[in-house]
Amino acid sequence: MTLLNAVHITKRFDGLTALKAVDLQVKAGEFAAVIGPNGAGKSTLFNCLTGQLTPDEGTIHYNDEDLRGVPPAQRSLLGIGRTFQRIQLFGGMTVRDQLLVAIRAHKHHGALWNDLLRGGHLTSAEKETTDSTLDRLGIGSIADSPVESLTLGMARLVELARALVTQPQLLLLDEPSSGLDRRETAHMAQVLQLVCREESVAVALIEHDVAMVGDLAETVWVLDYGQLIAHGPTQEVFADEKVRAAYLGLQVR
Amino acid sequence: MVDLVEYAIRGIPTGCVYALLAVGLVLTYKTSGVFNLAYGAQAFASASVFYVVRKDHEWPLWAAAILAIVIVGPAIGLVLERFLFRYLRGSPPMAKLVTSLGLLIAIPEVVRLLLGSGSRKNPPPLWWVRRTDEWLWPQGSSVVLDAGQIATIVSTIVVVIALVFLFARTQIGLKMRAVVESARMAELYGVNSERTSMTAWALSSLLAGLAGVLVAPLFASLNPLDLFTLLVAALAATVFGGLTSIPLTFAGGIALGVLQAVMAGALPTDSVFATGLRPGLPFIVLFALLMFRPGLRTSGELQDPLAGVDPPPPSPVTQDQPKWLTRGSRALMILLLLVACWISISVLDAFWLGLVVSGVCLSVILLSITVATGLGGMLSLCPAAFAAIGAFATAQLVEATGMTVIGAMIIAGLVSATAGAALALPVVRLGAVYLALATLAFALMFESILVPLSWVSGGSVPLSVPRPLIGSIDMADDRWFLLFAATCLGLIAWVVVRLREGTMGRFLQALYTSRDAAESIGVSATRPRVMAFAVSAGIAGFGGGLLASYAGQANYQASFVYLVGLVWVALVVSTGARSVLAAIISGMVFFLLPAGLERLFSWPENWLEAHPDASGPVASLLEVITPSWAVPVAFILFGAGAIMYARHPEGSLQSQMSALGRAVNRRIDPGGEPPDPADDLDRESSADLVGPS
Amino acid sequence: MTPPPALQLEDVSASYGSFRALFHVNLTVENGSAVALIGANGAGKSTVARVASGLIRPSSGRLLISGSDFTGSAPHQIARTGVALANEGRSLFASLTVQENLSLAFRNAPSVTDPDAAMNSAFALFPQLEERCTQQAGTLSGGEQRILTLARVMATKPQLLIADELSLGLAPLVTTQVYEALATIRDSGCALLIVEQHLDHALALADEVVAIEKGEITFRGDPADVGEVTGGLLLPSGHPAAIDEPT
Repeated sequence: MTLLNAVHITKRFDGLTALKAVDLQVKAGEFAAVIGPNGAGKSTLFNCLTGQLTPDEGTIHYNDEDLRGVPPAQRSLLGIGRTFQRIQLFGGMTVRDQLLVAIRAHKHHGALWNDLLRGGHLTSAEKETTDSTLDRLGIGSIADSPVESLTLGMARLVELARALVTQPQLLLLDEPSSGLDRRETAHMAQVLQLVCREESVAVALIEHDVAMVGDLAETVWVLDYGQLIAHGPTQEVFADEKVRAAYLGLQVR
Repeated sequence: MVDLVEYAIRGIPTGCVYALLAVGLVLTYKTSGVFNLAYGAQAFASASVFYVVRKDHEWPLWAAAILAIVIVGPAIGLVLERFLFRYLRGSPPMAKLVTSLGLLIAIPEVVRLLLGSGSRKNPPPLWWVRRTDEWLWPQGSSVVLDAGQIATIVSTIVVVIALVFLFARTQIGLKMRAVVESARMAELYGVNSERTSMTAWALSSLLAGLAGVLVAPLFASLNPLDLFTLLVAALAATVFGGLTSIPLTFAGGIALGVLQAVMAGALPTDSVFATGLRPGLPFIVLFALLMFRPGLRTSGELQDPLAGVDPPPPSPVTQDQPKWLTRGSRALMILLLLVACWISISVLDAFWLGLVVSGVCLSVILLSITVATGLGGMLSLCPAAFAAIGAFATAQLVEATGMTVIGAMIIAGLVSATAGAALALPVVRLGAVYLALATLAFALMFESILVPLSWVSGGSVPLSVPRPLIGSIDMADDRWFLLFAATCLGLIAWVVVRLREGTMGRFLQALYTSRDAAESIGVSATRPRVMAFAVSAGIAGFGGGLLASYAGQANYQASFVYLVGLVWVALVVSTGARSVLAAIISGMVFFLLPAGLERLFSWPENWLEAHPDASGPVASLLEVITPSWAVPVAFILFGAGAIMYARHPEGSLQSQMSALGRAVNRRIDPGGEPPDPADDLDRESSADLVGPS
Repeated sequence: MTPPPALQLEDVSASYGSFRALFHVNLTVENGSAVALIGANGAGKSTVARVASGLIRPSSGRLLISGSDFTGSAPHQIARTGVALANEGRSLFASLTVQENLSLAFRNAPSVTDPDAAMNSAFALFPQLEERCTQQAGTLSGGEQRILTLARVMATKPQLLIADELSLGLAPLVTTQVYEALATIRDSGCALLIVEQHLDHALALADEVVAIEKGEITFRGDPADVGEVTGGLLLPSGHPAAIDEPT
């Protein structure tokens, strides 16, 4: 079943066309990767999917629901989670607080009255949920550290945990291994595999690390200069001459 | 129809005044990235110098003009650039705005201290005729321009043409544009960015001086408030030009003047439209432009590509102190406040007790700033307007329904909260600077349109508000009222702390530090901020009712003028926007500091009276100091706090606490190992983990 | 007597606020030679480029340009001695037009005596820029922006060009074009400091390779020797060349 169906997405910025009629389909539980050189429009595509940007043309359906005019927060409640290329954690909070904000946003109770009547303290159920999510990613020990003290690798995992705690059906990951060293990248790949396989969360992944894409992704979508130049099962796409010239060629001597 | 054309032509001189101020603002913004609210204060400084040398010392026109416009104007700009704005280049727009807010408060008071604080009636014109109507053109026609208007029109046109030429055709203009986009990259191109930026400040300050001297004769006396209000009116033209286009800004200014004149002529003089709408028009236009002008949200936010060179800025909302210190300081704070309350009741005389009660009432209002700005990250510049709404509503409710005062205050708070929510719905979507401008426009709309109406404020005589009566306890006694006000303050402080530490506080902080991420996990970008704004307005409204009840009347001119609200914001933000204690300290300081300084400054006078035979340098020095220094010095100190904001965005109180916390930690754990450099390296890119604010 | 080297860093340490990025780095770029500075993400490569161009003041050590001490000088003073920095991402003024970008550079470079002639020669080299000369530089595509940067640098005839990850995010075809331009610049007698993560092009052009890891120089030598000392440190993980080597 197709979970996400984006058709003919076009986005222009002041005369510069960042996306030209790009399609992207992700099936439930599938692991898809979007690759392409910097500036190919990958992050722009993600921002259109999550509602940060409004595409000039094209339609996006999620679970057969048209997402036109649905604000970003609402899309999260529908089950789309994401991480960012340039890490976006909430300053001045602990790691647990990051997850807590996500949990409470999804419970969407009247925050104001609850705060006044009961206070906004951490409940034992919330503590349990946050602990188990962090433990699963192997970062349970940093639950109460301030985010400012984290290394880049930790911070990427915290962002992932924050997205996972909302129990999304679809996870959009924007270069989760960027800036990580090899050990951290390997750990990240392992975690992603676990998430996708064991919890049957569909994943769309933007990634430069070709080896990681080859290991993880079932299907690959290749963007170049805002256009979709190839898509299909990973091995077929990697064998494609056009793709090798536009992207992989950079790294294959 | 002919009449309309005539009215329109009459509007052109006013339009030129708007355009001249607006173009100057655009110039500062284009060349320094600072939205300079202090521009009006700079204009006031030059106009004051011009007044003193021309009228008091009777200098010739050309000498006075050169001193005031060509020397003093740029000199102020150079000082501001060299000692202040140079260090703010990489700061967020909001920090720059708060700094200019501090200058707006401090500069006029510095001028008063230096040049004397007497009122300056009939400012002299910047042209050679003695009276404005001595020289008119075209003579005999139905529309005539007097000398002052001609001078304004000619200067404006010359300035606009010169600036357009400067930016489009000259190397210095090119350098200025380059430096404001990225000073570092301009340096890599071989441009001396410091010299360029000083030139830009000198030039824009020269324009401020010219505008001040040209505009001053429009008013009966020289007064910074008039100039600043005119500047806010001119903001409409600035926003019309998108903060960057000088020709569009000029057109916007002219259009505004013409529209105002046409309305003045075409509308019946005795209607609401003429009395309220005409003076309020620029603010309505400004508000509407901010809501509807496309592209404002993203304009002027070009990222410096070399920003990575800076060390990461301190997070404005981090609380860098151990938990036990937070708890300990909170317990200590409550204890101290109780002791202070008891001392006030048992020891203080009526004068000081009165000031303390006023301070407690104001503290309630200031907690509204804690909610909007500290928790919500929104620099709202209209706290005084919501306080006034609360005061008026309390008075009207008591008078109309005869209900108890306390009940009226609570309903007034709800009225004010509703108004706050209505304002917030369109406003919270704007970026930080535009939100601040929109709230400023709201404050002035309220002041010029609603306050004169009798169903709002009761007209020219302030509405009276009685003191509360609980059982047999009559609050007419200040000591009882203090207990009542302190209880209200305690309750509202508790609400603020609950919100800050609860879900609301977390949502707001998440939105403030990374809006995209907050939305990506389901936090609505508007709802928490609208709620915070409404709660803030409700608190201000309740506090306004409280203050009015203490004063016995809802007196707009005495307590709630919009400029006073700006001073409140500057005080709270510089003491600590997120801290309840900071709001209370600010409320107290606002009333106690001027009074305390007055006592201090009257000491030399008393001493000289007691020692009439004293002479020598000490005595002559003491003679200079008068009690009239108290208010200017107090306001300079308030302004100075805001000027330092960029360096301590967490507020002076919080930065002291953090320093204390670190010192204590070092004492406890002196053997803390120096950080491993390798650990640091892992963090090379984690410096910017936290999203842009 | 041989002229002093174009660039010398002597025992340089540098930091961003409390975060220390370079430790006692020594680096020399001889006149007219090309040095490739390689290393992983966050190793301190870009910091070296920033210190050399004056954007960051070293916390200790000396910065010498053609033998004169420029430690602590403002970037524009260093730029005027003929040091140019072309960096990854945006290296131009997005709000200025193409022509204004070039004009600003040419009129502030002491080596350019005739700005108009420089403009003409830049347009002759890269005709596509002339077509877009009144367009705002921020609206150019990534490749065109990189070309504008190169056109600016080439026409100002620098003594030393610091190229900071110029190939980052470019399509292979454009990368090749960029490196051809760099070779032309080198052949005109300009010294090059090439900061790169992707090795292929950089190694082909360089006379010497310097590797940096965690803020310290770990290797320096001939480009031909690099293959043996990579150790997974110089290459970003996932790079095909890095996958083969034993760990």
